[in-house]
Amino acid sequence: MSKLVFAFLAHAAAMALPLAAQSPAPDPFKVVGRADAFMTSGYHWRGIRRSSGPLFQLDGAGGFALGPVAATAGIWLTLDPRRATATHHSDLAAGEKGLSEWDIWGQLSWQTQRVTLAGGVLRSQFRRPNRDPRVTELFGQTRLQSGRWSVSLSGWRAVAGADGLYLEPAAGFHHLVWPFAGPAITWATTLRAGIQAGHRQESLPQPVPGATGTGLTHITASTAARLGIHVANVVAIVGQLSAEVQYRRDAAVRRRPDGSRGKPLKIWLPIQVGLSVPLRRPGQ
Amino acid sequence: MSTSPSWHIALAAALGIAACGTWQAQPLPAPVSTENPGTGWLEAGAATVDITPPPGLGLAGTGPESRRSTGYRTRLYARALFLQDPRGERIAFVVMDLAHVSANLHRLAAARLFERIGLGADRLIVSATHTHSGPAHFYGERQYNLNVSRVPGYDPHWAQFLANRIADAVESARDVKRRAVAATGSIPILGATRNRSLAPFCKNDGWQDSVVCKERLVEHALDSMLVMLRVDAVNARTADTTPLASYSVFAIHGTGVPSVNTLLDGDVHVRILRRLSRLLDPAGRLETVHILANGTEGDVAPKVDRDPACLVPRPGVVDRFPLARGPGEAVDFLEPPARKTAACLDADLEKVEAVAERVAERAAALYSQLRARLSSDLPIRRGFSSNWLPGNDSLCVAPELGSGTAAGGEGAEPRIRGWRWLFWPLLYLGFEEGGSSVQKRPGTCQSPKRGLLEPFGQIITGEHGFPEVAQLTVVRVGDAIFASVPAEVTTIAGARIRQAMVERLQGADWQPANIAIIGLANGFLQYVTTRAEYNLQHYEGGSDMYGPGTGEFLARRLADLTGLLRGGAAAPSPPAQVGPITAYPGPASEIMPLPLGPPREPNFRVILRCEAGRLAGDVYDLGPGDVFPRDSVFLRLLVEGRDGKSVATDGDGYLEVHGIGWKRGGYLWRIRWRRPPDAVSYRLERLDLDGKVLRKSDPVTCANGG
Repeated sequence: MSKLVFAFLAHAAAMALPLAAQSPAPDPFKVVGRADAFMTSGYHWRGIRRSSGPLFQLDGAGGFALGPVAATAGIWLTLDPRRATATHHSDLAAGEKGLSEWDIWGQLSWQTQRVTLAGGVLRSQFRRPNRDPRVTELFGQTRLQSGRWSVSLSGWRAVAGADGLYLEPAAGFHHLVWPFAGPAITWATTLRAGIQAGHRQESLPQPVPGATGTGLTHITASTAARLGIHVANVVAIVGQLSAEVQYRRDAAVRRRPDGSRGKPLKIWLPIQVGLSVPLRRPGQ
Repeated sequence: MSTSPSWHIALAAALGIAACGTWQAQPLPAPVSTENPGTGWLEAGAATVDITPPPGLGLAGTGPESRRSTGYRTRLYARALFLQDPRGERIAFVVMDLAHVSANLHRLAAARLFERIGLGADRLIVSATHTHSGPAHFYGERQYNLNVSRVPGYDPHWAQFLANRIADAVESARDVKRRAVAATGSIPILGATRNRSLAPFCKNDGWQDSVVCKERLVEHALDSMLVMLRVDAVNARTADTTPLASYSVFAIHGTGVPSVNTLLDGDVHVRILRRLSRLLDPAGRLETVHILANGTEGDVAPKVDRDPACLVPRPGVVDRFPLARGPGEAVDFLEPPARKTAACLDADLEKVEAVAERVAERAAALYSQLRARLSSDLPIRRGFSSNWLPGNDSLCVAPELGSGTAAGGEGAEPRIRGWRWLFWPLLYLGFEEGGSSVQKRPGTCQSPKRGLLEPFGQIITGEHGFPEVAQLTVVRVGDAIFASVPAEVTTIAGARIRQAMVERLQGADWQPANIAIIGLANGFLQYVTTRAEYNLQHYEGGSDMYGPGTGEFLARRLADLTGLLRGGAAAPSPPAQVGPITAYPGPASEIMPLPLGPPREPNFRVILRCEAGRLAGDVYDLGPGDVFPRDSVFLRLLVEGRDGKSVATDGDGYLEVHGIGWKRGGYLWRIRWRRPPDAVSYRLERLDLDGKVLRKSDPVTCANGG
């Protein structure tokens, strides 16, 4: 399966070559960076529900860019403000609160108006009662945008701390991208599927989150409205309201906090509010 | 009238009441010209004043594609011709290098002119060339101030400045008026323009089976006539004549410069006038003022086949790099690559020059022909009316834009063109010409128009969002009629207006040899089409705000005014009806940079250098609001040597000036000369308001790549 992924990535790169040839002369070598601080009403990862209440998620990343090519590294944190109990989803052991996961990553990316290609290493660390389990994955992502349509394929291959390959194909349509100056407003609908190729945590002593079975894990249809308001042309206040419908197949995706098996269909309305630096709205 | 559900009306009313404070109602003056004694001679004067603002204002004309101006390629002007016949009947024609002229500009300028020289709104025709690279922010209509540019807002300082400059131009022209002779005529010009909306054009009666439509002869589906009024000054002692001015009307959209442009630019009109001046006066000895107004250009574009490199922004991921972990990607419109944009601009500017050359050659030929017909016996008469629009006669009660408006016209397509659905299959956008922009709504006044952002469009527009009065003028000058309409009239709608005017003069004491319709004058109602064109809801029909009867309404009212001029040369002009107009520009913003004075530790300097075979330079100087507005030359490029021959001045179309921003010791103005340099030494000079050299660069040689 991983061969398939890399074949797809190679194909996407080949498709993008004519575009690359038309691209402008690369910008001067630049230091790039960004930071985000978000509060999210609920956290789903690869279809799996990871919290029952709101979480804080912080990230920071930086590196160097030469035109469309960037070498970057970053850190991403999840903080659960509530004490974990046995009756709600949490990565933390019962009675604990605070940092529940922290990830570090490094990647090479190439991004033009229509094409995004990225690949790198991701190290995820989780808080557990006895020993913090870790997983290291190689990942690749390709994304094509054509008008208001976009398609993407992402893949994560576990190389340490777990096994298996997780694939996520997605297709999206932007109903609205605000064409005027002022706040950045978008409304998009996305269909996303999760596919687990090879068992993720078979025979591992410290399980990390992930699908328990193989094949299709879930399909999610979401529609999201996003609003970004400039503050002093530096930072953006971002709010996003979504409606999501999920078909759940894998046991990990369907699992309730008490361990019982949930229904195959689920609907929820996640909300995200946060700050992003720097402001990324193109100029006038 | 649109039959919106009652809750829409209730919500609109509620929002309207809430928004009352932001509409900023401003009753406009309504001056009527005073009686004026004649001198027994035809007299004329002409003048040009600079209206170039400092960088920072939004460009107007292509909505979401109209960027904030970063400098200028050509300076912008108000050009005025003042005419007074032997009996004292006066008229002032002014053409502005702007996308549009709003009724508030016309009335505010008329009020100033009334105070200064007794000239009122009834004898002042202010029109726009329709350059899509001219500044916005002056409209008396809130929706225009919000949406004609990416930079929203109404700047009262800028509006007052423009009104003052219109008055200055007319007063200057009047102050230099001299005994004159004049002649009018017309000439066809083919090969410079094309019909950009042929499908609606061919829906008109009598055109469906024409060769033009069957063979898609877009260069023939238009009004190709250039109508000119030539005016020469007469030497009272010798009776010799010298060229004084020309005022021409020709239909051509100001969309030669593509929307990726960020520099102020007079587009095709300024280039036509520059070439016309050179053709008629190669040595540059005369000070003839040539003026070119736009005609029935609603569906007429310059023959500039847009370079495929001229991309508009498309949706894409705006993040500089993807995040392996973090919030989802942000999608926004991304600008096309800078290299493509530059190539596109260069290619299109060359094509605009070719169009200008074609028009200028023919205009020069007509100008020469008219010399033999110059006469002092040109009576001037005018009729003027202010017409309330909502619900009047055949017009709809509520002005409404169609979804086809968002598709833009061919050659000026915005980034959202082709967006049909908001949410399939429930909510339409209809941002296309025809197709989903057509909606059968039997019984509604605007039918078959699909309203823009329906059903919320009317609510968003609110009350008084668009113009509610049309000012119409019909002027007789000799055997020609110049009729002004505050709109972009399509070819056939214009032909029908002319036909109605001719019919009204049947059996009159005189018959017009030429009728020129001056578009975009004394206000801006957007487009006016025929019913057949309207039914297709292309860009022009979608932008016909008062419904399918607008063209017929204007034809009737202009015919009525024409009917008042049936009398012979001895009959006076009819009384004018200068009705009330209220402007609703919305809240005031400070958009035009104001003077700041020099920095604390100024380090002003002029640097010229060679970059990739072109001359470029940096000028550290005063800030935008301190340098502009100005009538005089700011920067001059010379060939180094004893003679110091000037080869370019700022804003001549080739010496581009970009406002970069404050750097240490001054504001950085970056210049680029678009012409290839010769193998000689050049120098760049910064001039003061009196034309004296303040600072100059070291000499630079830049031939063959420098």
